[in-house]
Amino acid sequence: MVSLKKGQTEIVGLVIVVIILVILALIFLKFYITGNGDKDSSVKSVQANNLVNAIKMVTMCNQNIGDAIIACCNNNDFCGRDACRLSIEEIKKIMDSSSEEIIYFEAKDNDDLCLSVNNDCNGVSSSINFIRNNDGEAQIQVKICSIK
Amino acid sequence: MRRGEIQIYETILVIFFFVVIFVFGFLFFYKFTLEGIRSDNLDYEEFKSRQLISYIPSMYELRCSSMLAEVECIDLGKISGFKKVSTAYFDIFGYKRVIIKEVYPGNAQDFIIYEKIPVKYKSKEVIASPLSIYSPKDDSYKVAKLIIEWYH
Repeated sequence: MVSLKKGQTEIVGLVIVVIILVILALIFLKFYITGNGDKDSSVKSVQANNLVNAIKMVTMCNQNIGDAIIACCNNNDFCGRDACRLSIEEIKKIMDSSSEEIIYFEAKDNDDLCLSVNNDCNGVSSSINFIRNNDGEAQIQVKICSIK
Repeated sequence: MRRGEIQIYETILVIFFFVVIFVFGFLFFYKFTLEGIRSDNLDYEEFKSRQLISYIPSMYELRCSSMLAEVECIDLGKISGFKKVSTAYFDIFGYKRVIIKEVYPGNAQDFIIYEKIPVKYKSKEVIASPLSIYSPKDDSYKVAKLIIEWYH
């Protein structure tokens, strides 16, 4: 058997250490790349879009919440009550009953915020939905923030 | 023992250990490959379940339509009809339970639209999403939760 000199032995040891480090780095990279982030955000995006669609269609006083939101943006009453107050109450009820997560809701009239429920966050947003009737129009959007 | 015999025993011992290490290595490789296939299968099933929360509300068999226009909601009037033929949807749904649970404005009602539970399963996963439903009885739109339970 060929005996190695001290310097050569150290080089072989170094190479083995480098190989082990590379293998560990590859294993870490595999778990890092195949995380759940994308899957969760795609589901949350569908949930956010389904929720904003459900909210705008809910029937209230033979009309829908969309009409109440537009009335709120126009500072009008709806169903004999303050439209903003009524909209906030009902939207909060819908969000609390349909999801376990904290959800932010906003309604804008030409980029002017006229109604919001909960605090804004950096969550997964729905697409912006346009609602309109004879009195005007508004843009509504929800963001799924986090688990309660 | 002579020197030659010792070397033969040494060779046999080396071959024995080599075979043992090879067998262990092969078993580990087999087990990891099998686990990999199982994990991929589970990921695929999970992906299919996640897709259902956007697919079910868009099914013509269940979705609302008014004056030839499609509306993004589920028509409660179509559920009983769908339930009668739901077994024919096994290719799409697989082993799952699909429930529509009314959550707003109040009188909570559950509608099971599809149910096929395997005899044996290890665990159950649940995925849910809000949904708009139309009640033809009182001509109103309500909010429900689409709950998909899948078994593996």
